[in-house]
Amino acid sequence: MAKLEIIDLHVSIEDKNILKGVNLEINENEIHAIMGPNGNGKSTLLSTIMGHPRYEVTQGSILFDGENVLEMEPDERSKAGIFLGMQYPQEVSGVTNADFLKAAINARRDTPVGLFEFVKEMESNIEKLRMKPDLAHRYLNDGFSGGEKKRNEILQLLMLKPKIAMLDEIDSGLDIDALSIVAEVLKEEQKQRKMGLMIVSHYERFFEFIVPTHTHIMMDGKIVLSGDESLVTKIDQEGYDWIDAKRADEMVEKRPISVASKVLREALGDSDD
Amino acid sequence: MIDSGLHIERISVTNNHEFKQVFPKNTNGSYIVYIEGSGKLDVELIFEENAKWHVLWINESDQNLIIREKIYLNRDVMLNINYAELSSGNHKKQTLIEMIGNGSYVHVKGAAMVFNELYWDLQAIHHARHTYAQLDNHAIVLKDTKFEIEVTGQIDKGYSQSETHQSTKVMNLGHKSDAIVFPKLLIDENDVAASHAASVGRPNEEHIYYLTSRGIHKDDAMRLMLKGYLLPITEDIKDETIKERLITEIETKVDSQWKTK
Repeated sequence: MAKLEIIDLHVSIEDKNILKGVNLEINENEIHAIMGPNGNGKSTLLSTIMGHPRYEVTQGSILFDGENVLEMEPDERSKAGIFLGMQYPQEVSGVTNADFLKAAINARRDTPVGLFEFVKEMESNIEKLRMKPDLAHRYLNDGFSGGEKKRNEILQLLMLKPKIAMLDEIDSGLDIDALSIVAEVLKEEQKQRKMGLMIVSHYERFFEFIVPTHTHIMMDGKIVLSGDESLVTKIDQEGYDWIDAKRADEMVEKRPISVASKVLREALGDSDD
Repeated sequence: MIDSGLHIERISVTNNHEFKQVFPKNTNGSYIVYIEGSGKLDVELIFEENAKWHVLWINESDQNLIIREKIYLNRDVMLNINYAELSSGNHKKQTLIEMIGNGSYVHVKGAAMVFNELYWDLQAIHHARHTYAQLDNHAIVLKDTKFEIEVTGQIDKGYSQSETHQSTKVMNLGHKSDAIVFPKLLIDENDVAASHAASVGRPNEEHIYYLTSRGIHKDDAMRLMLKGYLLPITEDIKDETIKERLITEIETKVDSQWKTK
């Protein structure tokens, strides 16, 4: 039973605090939608879980099946079963998709994957995603359109079979037909392998294809609201302003508590924390 | 003088060594040369009219070696020449390509991995009309090493409708390494085309992260990327024997530096 736990996670980039205490738990077979306005830490959260070297964890922890993820290199996190479909996949000229994927698969095995077995699986996945058949021999994302890059991320997911996959705006750059193909493939894969999913997206449309079991709203480096899939529709119709207003109300309510009175209340065991 | 077809030579240099080869009129084929030893090597390659050849030089010397190479291209010669400078040792090289016949063509593609020191002065000198030179080099400069390459395309007055192009890409892997590219175009004629591109960079951290995020160990990611950096130089090589040898040479040398985990 795969479980990813994010506990009180604080993350900064070049001394700027981006995440300010994120708590989240994702189990296998759960689909979590993470929404929120741009620049509030969604991509930072995903990249930190994957181990991007730019992000510094200043507080908190990430556990995967009880193991400390923060002590692992990105390749170890991947091999443990975590995957990140990136918002902006890198173009790596000179390295073919086939060589890259073979290296990634072999890193998970004691003996190298058989060529026939590998080609067969890759071809079948390329067909599922309706990608161009020459993909294997093309350089990794080099000269790919936005949509092709995103499909290539899903191809990698299918080949690497993670336990928990994070998708960072995987729907951007995809037209409606491509979106339905990707969502369909993803849905089937999720169902079959009971994969846990963590999906960052701005659009309700994607969540119509893949219905989340949990929805979280992230603002100012924290998860400010969690609910079920109905939250997606509310955001789509009303935006985020109502959450801002709700938070402002909460802050007004709390404002009268002075530091001194808080200390006093804590001492009496009457803390609201 | 040699006939058309495939020829493989091995030059063993001791002290001063001279080597001359004439590629006769209207011949064509593939010519592969391995160089080893130390000292000074003077090379003269003469391509007679309408000779069409594909040449591969593999420098296997791991000692001190100075190579002076003069290549003469007569009328309508078509020369594709590849260099594999992928061995250790201190090497100094001068390659002068003298395009003395109208309509002569040369395409140089070089792959270098610098283990110690490599200085290379590469020149295409257009002494005739309607000549074409393209000089492409990719180099990887390892830690604590030195690499200098000077690439010159020269078209003198009167040699119109000629083209001289060059591109040099260098990846520098060490903080204390020196990698310098001098791209030069010396043009004294109006009716010509010329271009140059040169870059010296470090491995892209985002690329490494992307590859490692798929489970590939950092060393393996480097290995894949470095091969990816050098192997494009083998693209479009029509001679399959030469292409295969060059690919093997690059792969073996990169693998020797970054072992698979």
